[in-house]
Amino acid sequence: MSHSSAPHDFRAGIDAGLHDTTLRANFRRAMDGLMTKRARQFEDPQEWTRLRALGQEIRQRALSKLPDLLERLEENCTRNGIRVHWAEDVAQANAIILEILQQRGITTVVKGKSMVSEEMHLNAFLGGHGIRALEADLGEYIIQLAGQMPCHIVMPAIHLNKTQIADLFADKLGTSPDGQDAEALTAIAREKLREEFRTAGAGISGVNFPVAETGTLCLIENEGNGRMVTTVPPVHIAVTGIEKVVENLEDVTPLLRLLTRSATGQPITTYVNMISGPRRGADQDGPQEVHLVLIDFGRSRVYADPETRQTLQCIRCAACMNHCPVYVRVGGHAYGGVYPGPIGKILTPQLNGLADYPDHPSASSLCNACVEVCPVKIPIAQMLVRLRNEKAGQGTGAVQDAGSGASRVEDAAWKAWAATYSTPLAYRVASAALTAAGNALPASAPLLKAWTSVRKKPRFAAQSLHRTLKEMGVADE
Amino acid sequence: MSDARANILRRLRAAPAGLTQPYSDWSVLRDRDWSIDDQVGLFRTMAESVNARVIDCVAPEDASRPLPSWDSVLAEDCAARGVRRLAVSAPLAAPLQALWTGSPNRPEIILTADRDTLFSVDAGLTTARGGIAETGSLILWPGPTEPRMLSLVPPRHIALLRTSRLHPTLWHAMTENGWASQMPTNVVLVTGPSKTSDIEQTLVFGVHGPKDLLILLINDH
Repeated sequence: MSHSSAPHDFRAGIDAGLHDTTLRANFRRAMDGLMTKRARQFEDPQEWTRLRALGQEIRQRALSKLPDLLERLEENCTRNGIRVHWAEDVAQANAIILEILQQRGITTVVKGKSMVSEEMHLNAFLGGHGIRALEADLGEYIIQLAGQMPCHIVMPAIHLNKTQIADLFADKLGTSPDGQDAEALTAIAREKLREEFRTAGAGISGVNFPVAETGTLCLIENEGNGRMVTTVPPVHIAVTGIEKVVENLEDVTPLLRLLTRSATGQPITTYVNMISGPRRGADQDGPQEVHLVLIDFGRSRVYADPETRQTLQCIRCAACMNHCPVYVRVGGHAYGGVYPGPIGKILTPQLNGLADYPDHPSASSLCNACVEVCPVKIPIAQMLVRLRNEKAGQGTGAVQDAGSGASRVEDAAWKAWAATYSTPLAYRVASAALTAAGNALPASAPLLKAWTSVRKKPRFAAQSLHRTLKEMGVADE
Repeated sequence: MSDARANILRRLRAAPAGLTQPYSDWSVLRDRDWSIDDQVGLFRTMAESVNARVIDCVAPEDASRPLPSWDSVLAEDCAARGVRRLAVSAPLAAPLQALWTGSPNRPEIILTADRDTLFSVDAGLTTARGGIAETGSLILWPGPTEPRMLSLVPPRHIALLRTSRLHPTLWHAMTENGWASQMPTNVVLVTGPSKTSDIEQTLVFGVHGPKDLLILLINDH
C-alpha cells in the first residue's frame, strides 16, 4: 500500500492554505463557532472530567477485548440477520461491496457520511464499474459536486462559503447563482436528493458505534440522510473500522453524549439510529438485506503496540481539529489524507506509513490543545513525539516505515547537543563561542536558511543567562 | 473472505495486552433526582430549543385536567398548516376515524406502508414509546404497526408522547426497560426536525427528514 506514489507534499499544501485568504476566513469563522458551541456544553468541569474518564475507560475496555468483541458482534449481527463481511485492505472491501451490488443488478446507491468509504475511494471505484454512488449528507454532496475531498470529518464542506456553493450549484445543477442563502441552497439539495432516496437500489452508510452485545449498528446524524439510506432502499450496506466496536448497549450512552457535544456543541443529534437487522417478521418496511463490512486497513498493526493502540480510541468528533492552531490556518486539504488535523497527524502515518506522510508528526507545536479537548483522552501530543522518534529510527520499529526519516545530519546534531549539555566544560566553551560569534553567522547559512526564510534570525544576548543570573546573585545549584 | 477474518483476528490476538480499567464510575450518567414535573419541564425546554413544537393535551376520555384532547389539537394544527393527507400509525387509525367522524374539514386519514404514498402525504402521525427529558428526544420503536418511513419521509412528523413515559436520560430508558434483550430491527431517537449547518454553519431546518416536528404531549402522569 505504501511507496506506491510520491510522499505527500505537506509543505505545498501548507503554502497553498496559508495564502488563501478566503479559505482562512472560512475556516476561522467555522472553528470559532464550533469551539464556542462546544465550550457551552462542557461548562461544568466536574462533569466533563468524569464523563471523559468514562468515555476513555469504555473505549480502552472495548479495545482490550477487541478480537472477542468482533466475534461476538459477528455472532449477534448474524443472529439478527445482518450479513457480516471482513476486509483486510481497500481492494477486498471494494470487491465485497461491488459483488453485493452487481449480484442484485444495482446501478445507483445513495450514501450517508462515512469516512471509511473515503479511505476506500469507494465512489470512484464504483463509478469505474458503472455504478453511480451519490453522497447524501449535504456537505458531502457539495464536495462531491466540486470533485473534492472532505476538509473536515464532521463538516466536510466548511472550507466553502455560500457564494462558492451557489456558483457550484449553478454550474453543476443549473440553478441560479444569485441571491442563494444557506436555506435556499439546502432546499435545492433536498429536492434533488429526495427522488434519489426513493429510487436507489442500495444505501451505504458508516457506523458510529457497532454494539457487540446486541448486534446493533448505531448511526448518528442531523439531516435524516442516514435514516433515508438505511431505511428506504431494499439493501443497506454499512462499513466500519474494526476498532469501533463497543461491548454493551449502555456503553453507547456516554460516548454519544461526548461525541455530539464535542463535535457540534449539541446535547444530542437530531437522529440516533439503532439498527439491529433487516426487516423481520411483520415489519412493514426497512431494507430486506443489511450487510456489515468490517475493515482493517492497517488498524490491526496500530493495535499491535499498546501505546499506539490509544489512537484507536478515537470516536471521530473532530474537536481536536477545531481547536488546532495549525489546522485552522492551513485547512484540511493540506493534510492530504482522509483524516486531517491532530487525529490525522497520528492516524494517517500509522495507517498508510511514515514514508508516504513524513511531515505529519512534525506539523505540530505540541501545544496540547487537542489533548485537552479529546473526549476519550487520546494522548495525541505524546503520540506525535513517538511518531517523530519512529520516523528517526529511534522508536521500537512498531510503526510502518519506522526509520524512513532517519538523517545522519540530524542524528549527529542531536548527539552533539546531548554531549554538549551533559559536559560542563563543553557547554561553557560552546555557549561562550556562540555569545561571541553567533551574531556573525549569516542568516543564509545552510542549516539556518529554512528557519530564517520566514522568520527573523534570533539575536544572541551579550552574555549567557547563566552568567546574568550569577551576577544577580542567584545561587548556582 | 474467511481468510481476511482469520488474518485480522490472528493479528489482534497476537498483540500484547493494552491499557484497560475493569470497572467504571457511571454516576455521572446515573444520578438524576428529577421529579416527573421537572422532567416534563426539561423535556419541553430541550425539544423547543431545537425547534420542535410541543403542545400539552390529554387523552379524549380524560376530563381531569383543563387541557384540550389530542385529537382536537391535531385537527386544529392540520387545518392551520394545510395538512390534507395525514398518514397514521395503525393503532391510531381507528380511534382517530371514530373521533373525527362527522366533523368537517378533517384531513384524510391514510393507513399505509407504501413507500410512494408516504413520499407524497403531507404529514405522518406516530406514537412514541417514550421520551428523554435531558435532551428533549422522542424514542420511536417502529415495527409491525408503524412503518419506519412514517416518521421520516413526510415533510411533517407529528408524534404522541405520554408524560408518564418520560425518562431522565437515554441511559435510564435503556437500562430500566431492558432494551439490550429485546432490540427491534430499528430504534430511533428523534430530537427536533431534520437540520444541517453544513453551509457556513448556518442552521437550516428540513434537509432530508421532516421540516416540522409537532409533539402532542399527553399529560397522564
